[in-house]
Amino acid sequence: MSVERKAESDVLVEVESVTKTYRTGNGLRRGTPTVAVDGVSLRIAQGEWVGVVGESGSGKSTLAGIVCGVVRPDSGSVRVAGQEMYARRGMDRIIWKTVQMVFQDPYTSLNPAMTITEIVAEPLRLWHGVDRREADRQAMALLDQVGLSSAVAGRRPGGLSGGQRQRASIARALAVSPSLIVLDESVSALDVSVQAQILQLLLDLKRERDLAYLLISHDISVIRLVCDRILVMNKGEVVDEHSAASLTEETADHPYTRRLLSAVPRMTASG
Amino acid sequence: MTEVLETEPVRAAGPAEPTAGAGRRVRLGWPGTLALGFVLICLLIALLVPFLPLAEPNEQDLGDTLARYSADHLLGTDQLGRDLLARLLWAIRTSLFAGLTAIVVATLIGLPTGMLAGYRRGWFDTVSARIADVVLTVPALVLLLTVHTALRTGITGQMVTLGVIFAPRIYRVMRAETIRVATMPYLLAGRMSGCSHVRILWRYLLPGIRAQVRVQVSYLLGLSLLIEAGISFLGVGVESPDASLGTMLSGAAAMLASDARVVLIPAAVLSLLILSLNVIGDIESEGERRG
Repeated sequence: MSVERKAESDVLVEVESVTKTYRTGNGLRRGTPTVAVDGVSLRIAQGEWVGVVGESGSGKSTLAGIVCGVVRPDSGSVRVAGQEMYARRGMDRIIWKTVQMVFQDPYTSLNPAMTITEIVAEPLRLWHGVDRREADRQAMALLDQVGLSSAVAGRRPGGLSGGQRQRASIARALAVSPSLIVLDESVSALDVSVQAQILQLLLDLKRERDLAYLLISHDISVIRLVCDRILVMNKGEVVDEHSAASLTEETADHPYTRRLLSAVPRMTASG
Repeated sequence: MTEVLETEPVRAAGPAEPTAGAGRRVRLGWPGTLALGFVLICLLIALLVPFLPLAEPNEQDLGDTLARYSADHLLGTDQLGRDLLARLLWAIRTSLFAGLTAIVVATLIGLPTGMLAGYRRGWFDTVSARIADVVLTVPALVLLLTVHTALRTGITGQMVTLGVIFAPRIYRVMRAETIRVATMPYLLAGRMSGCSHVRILWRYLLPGIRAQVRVQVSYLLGLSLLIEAGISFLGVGVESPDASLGTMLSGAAAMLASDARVVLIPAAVLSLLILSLNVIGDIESEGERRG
């Protein structure tokens, strides 16, 4: 695996040998255990964009959940900004000041009863203690930063397109002033042109705020386009890890990675 | 940064888009408008009847029984010479307030417990669900007759008891609705935005299940009116000579053959009121199903 990592002091999130197994079944019958994440380790440095790619059921979203503090691993450790995440109850609320998430489905990730301004202003008031008027003002500035006009600000999510909603979700996450944003298939539900706009927005925000991203996707072409480092997951394990620049079909270590890369459609001059 | 105009919503496969009561408009149509209008008129009558220039509803005039329509008695008089219009309007007030008492009690018990059980699950969910199952097995009429016999509580006590009997119905619907809404990612987004569990229940869950609350309240208010009329008819609800739709029916039941008017007028109002509440409940329910 060819990877260039940033200095130890820059490490924002450190995941060590985490394992998560789901059990199905009911009270009478013990179901078959499904290993979602199996001994995965991951480091994300300040300002780094890490991509995790793999097919459905490979454990990507479980890993995203573990990093965000919403899925408790069976074993292993997760340290965020030097703090052990699962050391005690209530740590999730502390972690969320550093790590935020933008969800896959823009249609179900915004409270339909609140206006866009209220949604973005809420973390400003609750996390940072900003008064209502100032929170609204800062929310408007954030919405402007993600490319949403003041006309959209007073609307409820039901009146917005998928791309506009995902921009609002990004603004909500930014309002907490996190160091890392986990993007769990956040552009997968959007059409290609809107995907490109959102990825460009994320790039701009990364430069402006020195943000780190963990981008979860099944689409290796998207991951290669924007990420600094790529982890390939298969059946709960990280089977390959490369810097984006060095990842090709020739350099890939694992046959699964080569299969993923070979599946990306190419344009040829001969047509 | 330049503003981006995206007008075409792109919808991927996934959970159904949540609809909040706050952002949703229900199309009433003409049956719904008529039903809502009738219920609102009855509510207005219930509130304003003490201030209306009506005859004393319990004042008897045995020399003027079963009188036809006149300027003094717009709907005539009943078998004891009491003004039928005055009794009818007071009966609407008594019956509606009795029904609303039951609904308020049922909602105050059923809504918070159902939401908490669906949101937190665990032992509270298990214990509350078993208690609800037990209460649901008790026949309402038997319990109301027992409470009346044992405690002599009057109509208010009877309706509070009815509220307790109805509470598991609201509890079960609210629990199921909460479980459905609680899977939506926007709740987790709310938690990540710094919301406490109480704020999540109030600002995120309640708007999502509010439409179902309205549906249940509409149906159960109709049922409460029917039960109030039933127990008053049996003499264990509102007591004579006070007017409720039930006592008006029981008092005039014997007149059905000689002057059906004294029975049909309160019966028609009761039926229309229950029908209207059911129509409103159906429309609300249909709107909720379609989102």
